[in-house]
Amino acid sequence: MNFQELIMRLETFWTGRGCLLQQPYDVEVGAGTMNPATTLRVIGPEPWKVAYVEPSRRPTDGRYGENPNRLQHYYQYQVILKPAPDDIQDQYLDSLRALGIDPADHDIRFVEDDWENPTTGAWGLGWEVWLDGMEITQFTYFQQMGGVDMELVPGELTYGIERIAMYVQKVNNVYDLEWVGKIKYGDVHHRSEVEGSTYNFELADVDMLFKLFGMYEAESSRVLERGMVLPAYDYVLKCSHAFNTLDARSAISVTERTGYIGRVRALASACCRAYLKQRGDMGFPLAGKFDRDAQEERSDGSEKDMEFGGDAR
Amino acid sequence: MILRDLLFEIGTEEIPARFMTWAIAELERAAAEDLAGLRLSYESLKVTGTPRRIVLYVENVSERQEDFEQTVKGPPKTQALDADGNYTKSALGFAKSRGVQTQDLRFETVGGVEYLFAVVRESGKDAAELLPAFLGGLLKKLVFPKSMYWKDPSVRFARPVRWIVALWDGDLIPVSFGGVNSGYTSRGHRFMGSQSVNIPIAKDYWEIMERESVIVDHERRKEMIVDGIEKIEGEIGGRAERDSELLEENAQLVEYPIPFPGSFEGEFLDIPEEVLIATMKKNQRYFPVRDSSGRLMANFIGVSNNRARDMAVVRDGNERVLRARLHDAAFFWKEDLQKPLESLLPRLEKLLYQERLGSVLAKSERVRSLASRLVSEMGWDDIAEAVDRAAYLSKADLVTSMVFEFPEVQGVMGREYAKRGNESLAVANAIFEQYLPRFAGDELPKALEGAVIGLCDRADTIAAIHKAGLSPSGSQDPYGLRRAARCVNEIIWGMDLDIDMGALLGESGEALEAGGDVMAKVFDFYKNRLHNQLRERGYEYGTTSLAVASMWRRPLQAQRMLEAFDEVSGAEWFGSLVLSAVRVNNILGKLTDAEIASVKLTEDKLKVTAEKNLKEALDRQGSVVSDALARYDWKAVSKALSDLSPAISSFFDDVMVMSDDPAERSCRLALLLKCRDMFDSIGDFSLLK
Repeated sequence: MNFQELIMRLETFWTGRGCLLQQPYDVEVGAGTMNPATTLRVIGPEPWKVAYVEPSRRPTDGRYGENPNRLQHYYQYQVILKPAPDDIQDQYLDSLRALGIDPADHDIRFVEDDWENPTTGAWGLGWEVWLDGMEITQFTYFQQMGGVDMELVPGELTYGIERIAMYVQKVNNVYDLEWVGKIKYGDVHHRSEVEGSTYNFELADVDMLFKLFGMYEAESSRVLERGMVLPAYDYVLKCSHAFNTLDARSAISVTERTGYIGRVRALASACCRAYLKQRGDMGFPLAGKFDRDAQEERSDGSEKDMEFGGDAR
Repeated sequence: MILRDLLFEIGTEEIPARFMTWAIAELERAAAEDLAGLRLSYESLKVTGTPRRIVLYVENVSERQEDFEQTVKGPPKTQALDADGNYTKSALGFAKSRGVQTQDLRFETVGGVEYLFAVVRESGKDAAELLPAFLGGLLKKLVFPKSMYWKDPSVRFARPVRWIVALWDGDLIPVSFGGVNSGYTSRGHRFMGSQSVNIPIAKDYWEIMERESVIVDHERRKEMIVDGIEKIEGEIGGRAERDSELLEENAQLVEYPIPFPGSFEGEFLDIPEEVLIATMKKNQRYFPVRDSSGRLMANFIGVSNNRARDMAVVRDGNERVLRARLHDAAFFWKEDLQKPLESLLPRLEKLLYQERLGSVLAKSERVRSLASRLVSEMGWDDIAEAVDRAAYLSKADLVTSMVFEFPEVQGVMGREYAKRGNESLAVANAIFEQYLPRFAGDELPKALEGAVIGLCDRADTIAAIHKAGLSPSGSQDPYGLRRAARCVNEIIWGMDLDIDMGALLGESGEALEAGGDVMAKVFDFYKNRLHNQLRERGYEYGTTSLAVASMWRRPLQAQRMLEAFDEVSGAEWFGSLVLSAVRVNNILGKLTDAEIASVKLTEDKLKVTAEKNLKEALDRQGSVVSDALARYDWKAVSKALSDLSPAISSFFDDVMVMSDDPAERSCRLALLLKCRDMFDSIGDFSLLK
C-alpha cells in the first residue's frame, strides 16, 4: 500500500463512521491537535466528529534529511470522536484492519501514555498504541483544553502515518517510502527537510522572530477583545510556531522558556474560554446534529468495514 | 450455614501497568475491611487482574450476616429507677433511643457505680441485600494515581469501565458505575477470545476465562513469562536477568503472555551496554540476554499479548523497532564522541537546573568549589586533582545527544566519553560514581573521588532547593531531597567517611547566599532525615535522638555512638545512669545562676563514702571521657560511664544533696555540676527518658 493510498483508506474508513472530512489547517501547527478543528471544537457540549491529515512542523526535530526516522515536517492523521463512543477502541482496531493490519497477525497493545501540551493548557489520558513494539498511534481521552474541562469527553486518535506506512511497506528509511508509483517520500520531501533544517537551525532571523512573537501575541489579544475568537486563535498558532523556531535556533534560554510557554498558554486559554462563550451565545448550533448522523452512519458504515477488511486481506 | 462464592469483575479499557500492583493490593485491603465491617465471613479472598479487568473473588461467603449484639451504656441506676423501683422517663427514653424493649435493659457496675445498659440485638441480614452497596462502594474507593472521567465528571477511574460482572453464585448482584450495569457478560482476550462471554455462575469464571485465553491471575502470568524465558534461554544459550520490575510490568501489559526471542546486529554491541539495556528495557520492555561470561548478547526476549498466526511477524516487527532505535543510539554515540566533554560545558549554561536557581553550569561550579574545600579539609591531597577535574566535567554529559535521548544513562555516558577523551580512569569513574547509589540497594561509589562529588552535589541540592522555598512537605518531595539525604548517609556509613556534614551543608548555604532562616530549615531537615534513617536501622527512639542531637554534624559518629549506646542500653547501669542524669538536671535546674556560681568543692568536706567515691570516679573518668570523646571512641566513653554509673547511683542513695549545712551542700552540688558537665559533653541524656 503506498503512502497516499494509506491516507485515502483512513479517509474512507472514518467518513464511513460518520466523520466530517476536513483538510489541513492553513497555519503552521506542531500537531493535528492544534488545528482549531480539534482545539476549539472539542470544547463545550456540541458533538463533533472529524478526520483530517495534518502536516505538522517540529523545527527541533529536523535532521537535515539524514536521519531515517526524524523529520521537521511530517504528517499526522487526526480523528476526533466527540463524545468518545463506548466502542472507540474497537472502531480504532477496525481502522487498522482497513489498512490491512489484522490484529490476529500482530501484537497490538494499548500502552499507557498520558498526553499534555503545556502551550495550549491541554491534557488527557490514554495510550500509545503499539504494533509489534512500534508506536503507531496516540490515543487520548481529552480532559482539558485551554484549561477548560471537557463537557463531552472526546477521543482523539493521532496516527503516525509515515511510521505505519514504513511498517506496511517494510522500509527502514522514511525517504524510501513509496508515495505513489516511482515517486518516493524523499522525492517529495527530502529537499524540504534539508532546507527546513538549515533554516530552522542556522538561518532563521532570531530578532525578527522575537519581534513577530510579540506582534502576534499583541494581535491575538487585540482581536480577541473584539470577540474575534478564530483570528485570535490563528495568531496563537503563529506565536507557537515562532516560539518553536526560536527554540530550534537555541535562542530561548531555559530560564525564559517557561515564560514564553506560559504566554502562549495564556493566549490559547483565553481563546478556548471565549470560544465556549461564543458557541453558547450562538445557542450551540451543532447540538443534536452529529448524534443523529452518527447513528445512521454507524448502521451502514459497519457493513462497509467488513467489505474493507475483506479487501485488505 | 449456606455458603456462596462472590465474583466481581470490573471490565475496563487498558489500565496502565504501573497502577495495577497497587490497585490490586488496595482493593484487597478495602474488600477485606468492608466484609469484616459487614460481618460476612468467608473462606478466602483474592484480588487479581489484567490490563482489562480487576477481579475480586471471595470464596465460601456466608449467605447471612452474623447476628449482632451490643450493650450500650445509659444513665446511672440512681437516675434510671424512681423511688418505687420503676423505670424513669430518662430510662425509657434511653431504651427507645436504642430501639429496645424494657426486657432488654439491665444494670451493670462500672467503676463502682451501677449503670443502666441496653442490650441491642440485630439479626443478620441476607448477604444479597448488602452486596450491591458493598461492591458499589469498592468501585468508588479505588483511587488511582491518575484518574479520568469519560462521561460523568463525577465518575472517575484509571480508564473507562466498560463492563461489570457481579455474581453471587449464579445470582446477579446489581451494581452500576458510570452508566455501566452489572451483568453476566464478560469479554475474552481482545484478539484470542470472544468479544462477549457468558459467566453463568461465579465458580466457573476462572475456567471460562482460561478458555477465552485470559490468564486472570497476574502471578500466574509472571510464572508463564519466566517459564517462557527459560525455554528461550535454552534455545539461544544465554541468560536473561529476572528483573522483577520488568517482569511485573510485562505481566501487567498482557492478558496472555507469549514470550518470544529476538535479535539484533552484533555491531550494536559496541555501544555502551547501559544504553542497549535502557533501550531494550525502558523503551521496549524487552529482557536483555547475557552469555555465560556475563557479556551482553545480541538477543532479547519480548513478551507478546497475542499468539499471532505467524509469530515471526511479531518478532520481525519488534526487531525492526529495536534496530531503528539502536541505529539512533549508534548515531548519537558516534556524534557525541566527536565533541570532547570539556567543549560541552558552555552549553550547561543553557540547561536549567531550577527556575529560581539558575543553570546546571552554576550548580556544577558550586559543587566543584565545595568539593575542593572538602578535599582539603579532609586532607585528601592525593585525590585533589582528580576530584577537581571530575567535578569540572561532572555534568557535561547532560547535554550529549545520548543523555538527551536516554536520561537514565547520565553519568554512564560521562564516564564512557571521558575514557575515550583521554581523561584518567579516576576522573571517568568519578563522573559515573557521583550518582551512586541510584536506588535503594544500589552499589556505593568504589572510589573516594565519586563519593566526594556525590556528597557535595547532594549537599548543594538540599541547600539550594530549600533556598528556593521548595522544601519537601508531606508526600511531596519533587526534587528528591529525602533521597539525597539518604544517599549522603549511606555513602558516609558505607564508606566510613568521617565528614562534617554540618560544615558541608553550611558551606553549600554560603555559596548560595542562603539566609540564616533557610539554613536553620536545612539543618532541621537533615537532622530529621538522619533520625529517620537511623530509626529504620532498628535503633530505639531515645538513643537515636541522643545521638542525632549530639553528633548530627558527623553522621558517621552519630551512627557509631548509637551503636555503642545501643549495645549497653539494656544494661541496668545504663538505666540508672539515665535516671541519675535526669536527677542531676532536675536538682541543678532549680538553682539560680548565682547559686551555681557560688558552688564550691572543698575536698576535706567530703565525709560520706558515697561522696568520696563519686569524687574519685569523676577524677578517674573525667579525662578518660574527654579523651575518648576527642577520639570519638564511643566504646571507651561507654565503659567510663559504666564505671561512673554505680558511683552516682550510690551517691543519690546515700547522700542528701540539699543538706542544711551550706558547705556540705555546696560540695555536693559541685559534684553534681561536674557530673552535668560530663553528661553534657556527651549528650542530652534527658532524651532517653
